[in-house]
Amino acid sequence: MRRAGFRKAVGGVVLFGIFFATMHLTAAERTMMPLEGTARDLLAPVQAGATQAGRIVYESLGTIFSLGRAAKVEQLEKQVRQLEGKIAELNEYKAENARLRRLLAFREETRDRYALVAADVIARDPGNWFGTITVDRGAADGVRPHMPVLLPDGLVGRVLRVSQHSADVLLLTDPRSGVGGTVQETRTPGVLRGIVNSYGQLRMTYLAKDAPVKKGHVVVTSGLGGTFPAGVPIGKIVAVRLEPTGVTKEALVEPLVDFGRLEEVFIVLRTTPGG
Amino acid sequence: MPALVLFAFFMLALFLESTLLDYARVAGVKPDLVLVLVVFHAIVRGPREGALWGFIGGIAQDILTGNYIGLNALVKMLTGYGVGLGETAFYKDSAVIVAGITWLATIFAGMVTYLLLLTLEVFIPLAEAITRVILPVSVYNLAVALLLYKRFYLWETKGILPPR
Repeated sequence: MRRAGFRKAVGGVVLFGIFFATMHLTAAERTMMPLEGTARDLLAPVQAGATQAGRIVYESLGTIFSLGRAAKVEQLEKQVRQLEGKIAELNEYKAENARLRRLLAFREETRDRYALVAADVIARDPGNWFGTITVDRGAADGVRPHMPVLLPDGLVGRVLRVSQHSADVLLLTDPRSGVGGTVQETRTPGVLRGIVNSYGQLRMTYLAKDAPVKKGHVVVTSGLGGTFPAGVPIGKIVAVRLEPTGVTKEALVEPLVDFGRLEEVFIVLRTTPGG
Repeated sequence: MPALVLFAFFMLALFLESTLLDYARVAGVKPDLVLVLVVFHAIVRGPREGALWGFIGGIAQDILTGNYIGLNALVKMLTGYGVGLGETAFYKDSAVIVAGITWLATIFAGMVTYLLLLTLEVFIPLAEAITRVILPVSVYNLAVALLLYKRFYLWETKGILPPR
């Protein structure tokens, strides 16, 4: 009996050790292992379909719930539902069209600065701790870890991992994300970090106690560190306060990108020298 | 083939979490359906099965996300084992009791995740982890457990997942 208990305990410790090692080995930004990458690539089209279905259902739900009890004739109700459904579908295409036009214009405007590849968002991190998205472009399209990800509104994040036909993007709002930023109006430097489970705010830390930053100032990338090009808009300061140590200040920054509604993004394959 | 059916449930839960459930966020969070299933199964079948399916659900989640492979496997395995230890003590017919256990199990899983993230040098302020993730997810999981447990229990005992 004691022998069995001992074996169980040893087994538990060994298992814990294995998990602990794999957790650390798979923490870094990397190209996925072959099996992992193949599984991801096979699942990608299904995830893309489900995400698209989710968007349509989400848009249509408002329509269905807003129908009310006024229409008493069943036939008319059915017709209204069908028409409303069609309108929702058309609105979806209209919104997609507007987004794509905007992205196209952005690509043209920045042609002399960046080589961009457009990617659709096909899934999000299933958990609640991290802010990552999966996009439908991977190593086969020239995507590599660390590449910046943008939208016309501003910075989205950077590529974390790639498989042949998909990539994971670490959003600015992820607590593991750190980006060098500069307050545009005063050129005050700082580091922007994500806040757990927050699509809405970033924290700009290491600001000198007397730094001339205030609500409404715009924060852009500083370009320090080499991952992100300089001057990409990040967000607007919504509050400034002393850090708990009292030595430095921190600013809460509201990103310009709506992270709750990411559907397409641009990956910067390379920046043009001088751009 | 109960194991295959259960496996399909876990895959469906994971699939929903990474796609459609993103549109069902409340207070910024979505429910951890895989954890809820692990808790349900552990309550009905005990610690061994709880740990096994916690491992299966967790490792599948880890492979899908590519984040720290082993993190969810370890957390969900421990949670499944822990909940399963109370198999004979819990009143399995009551969705309210099971929902309460799910709430506690989610808090436990959240705290273990938080500690493991610290070892991975992912530093999140404890107060933010509790108020922004652990507590909201625990409440969401509690609500999901209230809604789904009776159906699951029927399947486990009389339907497509009969006792072995």
